[in-house]
Amino acid sequence: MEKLLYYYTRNFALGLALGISVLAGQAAAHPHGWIDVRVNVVVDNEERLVAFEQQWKMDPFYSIALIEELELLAPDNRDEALALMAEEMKINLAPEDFFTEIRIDDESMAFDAVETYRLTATDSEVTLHFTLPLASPPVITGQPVVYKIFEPTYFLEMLHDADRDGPLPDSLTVEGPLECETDIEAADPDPELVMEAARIPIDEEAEYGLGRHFAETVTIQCR
Amino acid sequence: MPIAGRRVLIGLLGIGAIVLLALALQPAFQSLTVQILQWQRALHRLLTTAIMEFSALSTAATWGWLLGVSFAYGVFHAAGPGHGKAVITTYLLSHDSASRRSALLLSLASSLAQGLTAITLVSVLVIGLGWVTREAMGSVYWVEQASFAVVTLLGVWLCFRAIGRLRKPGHGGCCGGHHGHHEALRPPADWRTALGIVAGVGIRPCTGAVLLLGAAVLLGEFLVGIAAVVVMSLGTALTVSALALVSVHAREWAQRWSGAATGGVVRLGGWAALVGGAIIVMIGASLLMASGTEPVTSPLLNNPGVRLR
Repeated sequence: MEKLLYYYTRNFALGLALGISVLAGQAAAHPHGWIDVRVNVVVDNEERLVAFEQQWKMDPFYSIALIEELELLAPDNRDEALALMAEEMKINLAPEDFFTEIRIDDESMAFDAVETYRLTATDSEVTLHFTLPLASPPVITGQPVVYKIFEPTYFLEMLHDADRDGPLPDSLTVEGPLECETDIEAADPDPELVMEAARIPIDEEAEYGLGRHFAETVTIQCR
Repeated sequence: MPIAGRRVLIGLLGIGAIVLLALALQPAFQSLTVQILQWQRALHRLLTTAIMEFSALSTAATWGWLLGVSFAYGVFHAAGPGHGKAVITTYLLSHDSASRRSALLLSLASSLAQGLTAITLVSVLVIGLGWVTREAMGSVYWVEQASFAVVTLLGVWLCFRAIGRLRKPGHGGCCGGHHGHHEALRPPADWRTALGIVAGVGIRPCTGAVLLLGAAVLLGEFLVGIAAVVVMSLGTALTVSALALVSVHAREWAQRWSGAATGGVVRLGGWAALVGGAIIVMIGASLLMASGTEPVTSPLLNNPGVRLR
């Protein structure tokens, strides 16, 4: 009887442990803010991809929080406040490549430092504008350019500016001499990979990438 | 006792089947979690736009919409995984002193405490001390750490209590089969444990609630924000209560099998309580070491305290 009791207790404990690990271990948090992204892809006359010009429109909560701080940063000088805040964002985003990942032929593109950036604010909307230059501009005729823009921790959701019917046509434009087809593909997250990503603690930044699984995949094919 | 032996066997098979079922359902569970995540994401957006709309034009319709979205946000926010639910379900699964009524009260109190913490946090930091919203958001990290510490201590306390129960003379696991007696031998539900659970779970406010209140202050609608957070907490309470009731039922089912078979329900209860306490220690300690369950601020800017002071 003692033996049975022992088996029973052990099984009960195992079942309990399993249930708990399922409940507590996999904390995939939903985003607490979002950015509406607009991209203008710049191609030069030699058919090379030279830069990604981007506009990031912050969600209403984050926007009003930033506007509150703009007033504190430089009470009588909005331009100075915007410049200070833009500078800080640039410094934080530079090591993250401005959350932009571009691949050509499955090779990840490197970037030059962002020199052109500014912040604009209306009464209820804050937008970051910047130009992300490619370190060695590749010729893109004939081979697709594939990119993703995402915030790895998924605190912020980053999607191309959209309405009910999907991404707005002007949320992605290609500037230059080439005829290009563009396709913004919505994420179709693989539950298993999402759970795996969610299990990795946030301080292990190298591997932490919940946001990746919810990112749009954009393909640009130029002739 | 061939009949009792058979019942134990059936009980073990039942538990084995549940474990196998859980493993088999893992993919479905993962899909469901991702689906819940998508709903939470959609509700977060709806909540943001609802309070902006309310602020622009306050009518009965925008009021109703805001409160409705807040309630749904609470329901679905609690539907995902989280340490609060893990603590409550572990406690209820492993402690035979917890009745259905106390399960419901615990769920309601913990959920309301979460809302209250968010309201207190924003009242003190933003309105009282004049912190900017983003700074108040950042403080959630420290409150969360405090919550994990309380959970760990709660687990240690439960372990000590379980050990005390196991050492009591006369409650041995010998095969008495005195049915009816074990009800009287159950330790009473204890207000200190309940307080520990409510504190451990309730200290950690929901990031969304703090964000909503911060925005409400900026929009000059703090009272509206409070109303929305209270409704949100009631939504959370609904989900947590359901989970809590399922836990109590599951435990009662397990107790029936083991109790009927061995008569040693009290001693077994002591062991289960010890295991439950140990799991709660593990939950608290592992979260403390993982430095946070989720990011609490946007990565675009530093904590404003660094710059503005």
